[in-house]
Amino acid sequence: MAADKKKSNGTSVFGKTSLDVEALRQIVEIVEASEVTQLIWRNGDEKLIVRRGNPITQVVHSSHQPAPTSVHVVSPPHQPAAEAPRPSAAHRPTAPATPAPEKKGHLITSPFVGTFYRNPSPDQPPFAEVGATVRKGQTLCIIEAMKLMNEIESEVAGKVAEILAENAQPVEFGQPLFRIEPA
Amino acid sequence: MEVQEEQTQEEMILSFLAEGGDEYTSGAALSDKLGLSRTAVWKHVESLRKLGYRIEAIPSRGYRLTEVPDRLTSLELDPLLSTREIGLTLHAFEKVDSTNSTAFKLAADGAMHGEVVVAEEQTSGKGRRGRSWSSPPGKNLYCSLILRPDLPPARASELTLVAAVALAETLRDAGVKAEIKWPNDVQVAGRKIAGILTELSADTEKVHFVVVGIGVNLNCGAEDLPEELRETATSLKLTRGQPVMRALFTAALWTRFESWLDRHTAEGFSPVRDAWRSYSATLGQEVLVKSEARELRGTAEDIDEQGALLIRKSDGSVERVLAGDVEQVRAKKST
Repeated sequence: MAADKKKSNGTSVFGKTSLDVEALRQIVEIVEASEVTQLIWRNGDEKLIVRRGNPITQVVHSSHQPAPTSVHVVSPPHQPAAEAPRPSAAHRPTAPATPAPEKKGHLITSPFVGTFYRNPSPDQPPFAEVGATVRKGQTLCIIEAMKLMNEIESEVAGKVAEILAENAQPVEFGQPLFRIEPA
Repeated sequence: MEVQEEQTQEEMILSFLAEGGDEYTSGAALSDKLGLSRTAVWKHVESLRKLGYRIEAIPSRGYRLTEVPDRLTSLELDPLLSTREIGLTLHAFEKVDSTNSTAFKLAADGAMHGEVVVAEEQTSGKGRRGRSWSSPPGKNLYCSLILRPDLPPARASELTLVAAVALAETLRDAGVKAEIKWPNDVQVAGRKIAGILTELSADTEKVHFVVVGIGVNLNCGAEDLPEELRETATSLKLTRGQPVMRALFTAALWTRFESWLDRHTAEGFSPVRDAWRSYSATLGQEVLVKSEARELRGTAEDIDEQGALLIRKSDGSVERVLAGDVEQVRAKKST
């Protein structure tokens, strides 16, 4: 489950991570003992940014200001700005939200504002689950607006790495829906 | 021409007979023109008679067409159409699984703007979200229009309201007070008479094609409707008490649709929106919008410049609805 954890020394952890607290502590200590000002570490869906510097900025990754040693594990990161903020956004189980743009893989985005469906009809199974292998041109989902139905196909062959929107919920133009890791 | 190539020998015989008008066309002339034996010509005439064409045959003079049945093929539709593009290339079928699926495949294989699939019967007519469209044979209209509009995908949904406006106007011309339930169901006195299901093929920048599927209950009786729909659906015949010549209605609909498409191209969505509002059964009503995720209740205030439904909720805020089934909330009787 996604859960917010706060650690001392400006370390904050968002979401599920393979790194346990002890590992994070060690990484922070290594960075602090070194001359390095910034460390970016990636592993699959996860991304860790450690920065050293002055005052704490709780803002997300791309701040150019010097910051104290702060750790950010982005997995999953924030909801897209277009979506109305929800108090429990970080806890939604089936919508792991938008990936950081640095993530590997091919993003399938919504061609228009509409409702996102993962299945052909309410009583049928989803077109594709996380981990499924998909062909190029295989249907991944449907977007509906005003009874206009658009079957969205995978633009690449590969594996469904992430599903980034929730079934039967509105999606914005350009919003990432799937992340496909090319075969 | 594609239409010619797709014509069967029976259709060609009909074309020659139709050309002949009141004059007789000799069996010898027909077999010459078609390269068939006179026995083969006779067999085709027999099967045409079974389809409802009344063909007179007099041994010394030949054949003459005296009555055309109410079928939906190029033979009936071509003389009635005054469109530039819509329906000029017609793919007419006796039976298909779904006109939308058929049209979508044709479009994916390169069918042009304006090509239309029409069928006498659908074995699995499509509705929204996997629902079916009841499609009894030979009585109604089931057609899918292939469009290749020069629009970004974000504007393609406007076409679903363009279709609704054209459909409501054609039904009004046929003498019934058709109204549009958001986004594009057409109903008479609260009962559904027609439905539109539109499917899009696009990439992020450009619409490849749009298939607009239109089903209209024209001449079906209550007995042709599935039992569960008898309370909520109707037909043109049931509403106005007399059947319609389907080919005439179909030609009128396509003509009207093309002129609204032209207007949409020239003037944008605004005139479509105005016409939609004037035929709307939804606006001003207390409604319940049911989607798969939730239900939303409020007053249907307007549609916006994309055609989305604007619902004023009891807390005064307005929510924009893009998909869902709209039900009018009726005052309950106190029985």
